[in-house]
Amino acid sequence: MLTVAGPNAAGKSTLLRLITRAIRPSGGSISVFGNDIAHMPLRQIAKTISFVPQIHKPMFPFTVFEMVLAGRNPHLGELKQPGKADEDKALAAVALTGISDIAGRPYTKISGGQLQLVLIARAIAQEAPVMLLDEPSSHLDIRNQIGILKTIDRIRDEHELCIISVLHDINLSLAFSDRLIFLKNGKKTAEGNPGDIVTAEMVKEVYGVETAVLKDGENTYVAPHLKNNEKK
Amino acid sequence: MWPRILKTMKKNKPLLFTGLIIFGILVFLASLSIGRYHVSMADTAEAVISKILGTQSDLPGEVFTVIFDIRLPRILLALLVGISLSLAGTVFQGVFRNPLVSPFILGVSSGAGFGIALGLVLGLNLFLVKLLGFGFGIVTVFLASFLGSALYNRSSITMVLSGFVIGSLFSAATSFLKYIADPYTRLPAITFWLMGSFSYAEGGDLKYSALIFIACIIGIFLLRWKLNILAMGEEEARNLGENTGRTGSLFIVLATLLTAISVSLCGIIGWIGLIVPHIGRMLVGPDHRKLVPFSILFGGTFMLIVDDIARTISSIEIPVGILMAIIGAPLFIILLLKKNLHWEE
Repeated sequence: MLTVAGPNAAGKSTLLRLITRAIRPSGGSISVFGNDIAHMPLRQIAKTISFVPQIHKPMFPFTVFEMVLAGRNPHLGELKQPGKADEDKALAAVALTGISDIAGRPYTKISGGQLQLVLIARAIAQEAPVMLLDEPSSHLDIRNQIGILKTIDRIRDEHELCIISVLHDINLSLAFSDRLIFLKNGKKTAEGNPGDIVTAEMVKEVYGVETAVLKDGENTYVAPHLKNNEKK
Repeated sequence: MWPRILKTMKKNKPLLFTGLIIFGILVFLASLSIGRYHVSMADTAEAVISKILGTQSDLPGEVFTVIFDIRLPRILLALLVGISLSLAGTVFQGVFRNPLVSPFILGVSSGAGFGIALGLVLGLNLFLVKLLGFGFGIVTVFLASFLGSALYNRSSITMVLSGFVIGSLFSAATSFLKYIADPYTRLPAITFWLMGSFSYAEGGDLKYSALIFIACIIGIFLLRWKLNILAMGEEEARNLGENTGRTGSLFIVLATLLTAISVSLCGIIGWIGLIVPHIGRMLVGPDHRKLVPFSILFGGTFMLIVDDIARTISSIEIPVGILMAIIGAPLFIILLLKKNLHWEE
């Protein structure tokens, strides 16, 4: 998993939206598996890249299953409706994310953590080799944060996906990502193995705060110096 | 008893749809039988069967005239208009992601109303009046979407706003036409037409309009899955591989054609396009694969019932637009109050 981190307004979400072609780059090009996305039809992009949005505003009380089934859309012809095979794939995605017990409930009546899982299940049903996630663990408590990231980890292994995720929590990035990119003011500040690039100096440079970076064997933790900052 | 029946039907969707079809056929037959010239239900059934099978019948000739030449065209038109407005409401609510949107959101009714008023002021024949109404209904939405994309982009909020602006403009123009119209002949004609009524329906109307009605209804029926995708919101729908500009425009064109032709034939009948999708979401859920068939089956029947009441409740016919508002407004309040109860499983 590749994680993108950085302060607010660093351009993390913008980067993801560029990759899904929600916005067009003012310069340069973006290629996926050697194809420039500017020249790919939307359907083709959707078959290659799935996207889990950070915020989803529900409007109609679709059931969880109906939401996940929508992920099959890029695989359907113009006038085609999802068939038995699509329903099976949606059910498999529901099972994989562990939300089978709420599959028949309106997704407007479930918790924030469950909603996040629904959106991830929809992306799985899309069967795209690349999955983008925009802060999948925001709005969640620590138990659900870890749960979601463990689920993503498992899905990546089972489906051999390329996952690019924006994460705010540096400790979660350290624990779950293979590669980390720090963005600041729309520019890449650092890229590499999370354990190597996360240092007190780097955190200070990117976020402008004092932290202690602790090493415990293979694990690295970042702890902010809250009291020191106050004294200044 | 009713809540239990509703509950059973909510659980068993095939039963619900079968029930709706049977109910629709019964209402259709009943509508043929009721009216000022009395024909019993049994005689109606006999006349319909003998007409379909082409067999001889002992019934007097005027029974056939009343049923097939006078009542049937109006009933078919009421059915088609009921289906169209309900379906247009479902489509607009889905495309604009807003359950409070009506088929008239983009100003179709104001434009069509202007066309009708213009035709009546000019003293054209009824066919040309309806054609003008239809034409101006389409022109309004075209102007609204043109203005919307010129102002900012194709986002739904700018389209709704420019629909409102263009609609207001046409409403003002209609008021002006009413002001200058002959107050003894033309003004009442304009006013009564815009109140919404099927009494201006002629046998020939169906001949010209049926093709547009049926083509648009079939089009929306075939595309209904895409409404689920559009209801996810613009950016998410694109991430799901949907060309939202193209699909959204297609839906708006189909729904606008249905609304414009309905308004041009029988004036402005409100509420039905707002209520039917709500009843549908309560009974079959928000999935448009079921909601669209529901709107077709229930919308037509609902309009037929209200029109039956409109033409039989008193010695003078009440404009169906007025009756629909009297029934629709309280019903909508009940639906809004019940919504939270029913959306929970």
